[in-house]
Amino acid sequence: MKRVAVVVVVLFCGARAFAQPAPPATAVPPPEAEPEPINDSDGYTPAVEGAGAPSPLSINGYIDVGFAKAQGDGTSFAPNDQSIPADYGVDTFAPAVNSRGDVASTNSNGRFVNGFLPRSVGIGGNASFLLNTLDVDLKYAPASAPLMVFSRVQFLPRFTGSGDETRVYVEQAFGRLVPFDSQEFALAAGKFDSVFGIEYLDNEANIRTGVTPSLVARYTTGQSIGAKLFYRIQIQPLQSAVSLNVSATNSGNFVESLQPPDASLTGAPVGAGRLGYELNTPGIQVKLGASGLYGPRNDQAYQAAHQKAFGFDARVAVAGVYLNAEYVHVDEGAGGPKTTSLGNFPISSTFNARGGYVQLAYALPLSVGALHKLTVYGRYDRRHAWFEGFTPITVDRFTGGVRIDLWEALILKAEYLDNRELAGAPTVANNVFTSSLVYSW
Amino acid sequence: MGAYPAAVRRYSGVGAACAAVVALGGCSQAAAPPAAKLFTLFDVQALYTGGMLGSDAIAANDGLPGGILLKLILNQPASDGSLTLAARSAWSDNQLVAFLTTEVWVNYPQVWMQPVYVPVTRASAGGPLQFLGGVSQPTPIFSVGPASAFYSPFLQIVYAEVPADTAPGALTSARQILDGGYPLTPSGGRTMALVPDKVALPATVDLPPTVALPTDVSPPATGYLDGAVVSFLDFGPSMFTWDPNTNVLQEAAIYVLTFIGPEGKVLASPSIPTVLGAGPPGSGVALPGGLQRNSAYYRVHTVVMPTTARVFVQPGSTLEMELPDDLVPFTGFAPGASDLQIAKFSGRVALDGACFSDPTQLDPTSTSPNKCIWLGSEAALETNLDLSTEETTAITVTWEVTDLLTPNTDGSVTAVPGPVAPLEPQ
Repeated sequence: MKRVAVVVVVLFCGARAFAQPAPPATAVPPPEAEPEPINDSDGYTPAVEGAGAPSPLSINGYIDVGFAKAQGDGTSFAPNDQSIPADYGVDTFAPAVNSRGDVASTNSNGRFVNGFLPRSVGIGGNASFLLNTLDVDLKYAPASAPLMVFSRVQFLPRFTGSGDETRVYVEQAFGRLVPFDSQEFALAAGKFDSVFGIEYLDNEANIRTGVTPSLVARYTTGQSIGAKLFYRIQIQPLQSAVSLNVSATNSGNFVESLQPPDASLTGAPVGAGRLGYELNTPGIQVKLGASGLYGPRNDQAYQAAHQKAFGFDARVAVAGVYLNAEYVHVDEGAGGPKTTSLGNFPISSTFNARGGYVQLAYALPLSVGALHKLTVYGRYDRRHAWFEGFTPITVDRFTGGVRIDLWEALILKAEYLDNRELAGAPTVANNVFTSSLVYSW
Repeated sequence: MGAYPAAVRRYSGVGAACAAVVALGGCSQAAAPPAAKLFTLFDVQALYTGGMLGSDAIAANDGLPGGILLKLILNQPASDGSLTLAARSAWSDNQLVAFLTTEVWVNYPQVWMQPVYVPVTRASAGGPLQFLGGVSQPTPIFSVGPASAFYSPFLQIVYAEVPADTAPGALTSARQILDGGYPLTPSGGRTMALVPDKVALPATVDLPPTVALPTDVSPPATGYLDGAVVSFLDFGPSMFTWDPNTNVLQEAAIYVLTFIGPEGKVLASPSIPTVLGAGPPGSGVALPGGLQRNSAYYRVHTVVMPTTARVFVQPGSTLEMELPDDLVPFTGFAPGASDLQIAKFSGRVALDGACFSDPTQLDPTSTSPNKCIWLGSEAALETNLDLSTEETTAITVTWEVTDLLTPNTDGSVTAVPGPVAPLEPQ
């Protein structure tokens, strides 16, 4: 049934795509012009009314086609390790193959796992083509009201080990009100992006500079349901701005494979926020931020089992060079039986993680036929984490890649992930080559 | 103390957060499923250090009336902080045995076996395997520590064949073993509980009378965990079995015999020895007396005794004094019973206390139609009781049976240690 739905939507969206006169703003890739996610855009500007006014309804989206090959069996599990749970002593998120953070495999070959897992594309160590994401965005912004309604529905075809299955995932669905014309002040309610750090801004494949998320993205880039407030004040004499983005949601900012966002399991919300500073001069852009998260962990039912996180981020753009860096500090207390979007697990253990990344990209604008831009990038990730009573593990990753922008609607990316187990975790072959072809409309 | 005291203590901390989101309608928390909690010897030691007493209980609200007293795991610490494991007695197939308790799991639907690595080497090519360094007692390398919710004393020995020139003490972590690429040979299971420093085996068990408790279990030995030296007690092989596909341990049953008081209150006492169920098939070397070696991993069940059932208790005995007052009406005695009979049947439950009217009826081999039917084995419980009253608790335990307790004609009891096969290098 889901496959039928996919076909219908593809046909429908395809027809709409032909009718789109110009690519949407969200399809403009960074780092040339850093995009803001639609729920963090600068504010509402009343549209011109009348016959020439643009339609209040827009349909955008993208298709992310991948090709990936991971070493070994596509997991981070050491084949001769029999300790339990299998996912406590390794970094299961390391062999990522796409922008969603899905990994090549999470097959533990029967060893018990306790729910510290990413989603899997199920290719193991095989080279395989993938349809990472079919994304359909609907946006409705009536000219008569300071309101915008947005939905992002994604179709995720995956091989599960026992057959194919296409998951339909409502990643975002919210309404946003901008009550004051004179202020960058927005209120949103629904399911929306994270407010923690900066990596969530790159969640979508048509926006992300590279292919895969960082090793700490699992803690900061998840969507959740709740309410959000965004406020930004411009300080023109200083060419600066200060912004505040706060939310109260079901699950905070962990990815859905770790904490289910669609219901509060504890009855209490998770608060999160980011205070940001921007310097916008003609020659250099600097953005700095500090983020925090506090509330009950939403993979279990006890309000007293807290999750706490804080982080710092920085972005600098100068002369075509883009530097992004982020540090994240996460602590989770023990709670009751665990439930994630992947299932039920017996124990939610005390957990701690510290990590971050530094990414450097250089974008060379070009006008050679269809070739609009060539970007080379590199990223260094490092993560130190431990479950109570288990050996702390330290892993890092070097990522190098290239991105080619063709026309305004096609992106080709390829990258290599060199994953290393520095301490605690057994050394395992889990490096990844992955690539992504992203069509946007 | 409940199963989740820390969680309860922290509840007040969310009050402010709740107030801030009243408009969202949050904070009306539904009943949460019970949290899993593991109590190791390290936890019990910490509870003592934190001011709890031996008469305080853990797992008090998890199906076992009264929970498990700390002193039934570790005796109250000595003035120098040293600790001794508490020895207790239970019925196993109508034989009294002595056992130790090293772990208590609460709300664990299952418990897993973990690997422990034992480096071995060959002194010469093709020669026999020996422990690294040529020692008689290896220094095993544990993979999961006692602070983990997944810690387990139930271990699978995994031999790692390392080069002969490997220095003793060079390998101290599971990561080193796995990264070394050594040939690994999984072997049998072995119960090896990590213990804190200053923990000793008990010298006696109080039945009463106090009985000397020799044991084949060696004093704590040393191993490695993540590069650090740890102490452990090796209770030997053949005390558990597991699902080879999942490493999940198979449970045996402990039956705690309970009585219903006048107001419907469920009455139980740790002074009434429990009944050990048979271990899963496949566990077992023989104990002296022909018994199969007991399982060490049990789930606690409670079984309500019929109204006619009575505990055999000599008036004025220490056992009688240990029983709570509301259980005394459920005791009985056979005047004229011999010292041997008193030693043999004290604390044992008879299906119908009327059989105590004549001491000759105490012996189960008696030909009297009114002889006692003792509920000292799983088979006897299954045969004679309506087990619809049985309740499965959320508690599982490691109970290591160490000795067979044999009564003597003079009323004394002799402890016969069960054999503990040493770990061999292959």
